[in-house]
Amino acid sequence: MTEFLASALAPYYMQIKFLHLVFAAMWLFSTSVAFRFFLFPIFLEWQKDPESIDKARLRNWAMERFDDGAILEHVAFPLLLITGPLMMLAGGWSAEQGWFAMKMVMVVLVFLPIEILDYYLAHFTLNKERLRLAGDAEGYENAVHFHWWFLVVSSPIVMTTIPYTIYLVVVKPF
Amino acid sequence: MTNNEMTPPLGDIKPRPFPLGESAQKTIDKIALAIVLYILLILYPSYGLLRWFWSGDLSPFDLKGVITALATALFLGFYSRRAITSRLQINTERE
Repeated sequence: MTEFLASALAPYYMQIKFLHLVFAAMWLFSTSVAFRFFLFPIFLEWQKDPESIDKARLRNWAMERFDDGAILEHVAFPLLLITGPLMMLAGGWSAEQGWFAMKMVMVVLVFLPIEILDYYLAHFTLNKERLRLAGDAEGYENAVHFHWWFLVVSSPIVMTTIPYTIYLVVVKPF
Repeated sequence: MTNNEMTPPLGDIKPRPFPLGESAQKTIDKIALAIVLYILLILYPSYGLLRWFWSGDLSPFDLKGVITALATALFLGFYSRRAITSRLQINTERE
């Protein structure tokens, strides 16, 4: 079965690679500007003056917009998970190549857990707009806190592991 | 459109300030330590075992590999601690 798929996909390796690259570009930094230049300054201002109603409302608005803004990233990621294995089959890549083994470790043990939590925070149970409309005030505030901790903790991780993964696939250093 | 028309009403939401100072720093220290341990105990062995399983190559576990893993883990731990501390603004003066 694997051999059949590999030989069937091999002629389309470059096309699959093209799709993989487009989705990778869409996934990589699609939320970085929103985080660094919108969400972060708004949170900082609110943090200085947490009693301010106007700043709290602006914080909540930015957080709810950020939940929606993650859609691009979260559409691209599953498509990467589809095109990645297709490329692996078509190109004959395996963990025999050190860079590929390391990339697999990054995808499965770093990016996948982060993205699962990110889906949960942005679109499912902890979607802020849904919590607000449901009148769950305490759940809303808890979700904002959890999401902010998640963003602050995950950002240095993704800022180092994503460029490293790009380096691995482009340079194939080992 | 004014800010109040555009931003969602607070309703019953009571914004709770983030913790500042020493207690927040202790949490961040634990997170940084968890990152170091995750690299050393999960990521690095997974890579080594994957290579060993697939091609019988045990070189990731030689001295050079151990030193590289240790240096990477420590660098990422310190960098994360610094970045998280700075972004959470735990030393911010409240107005």
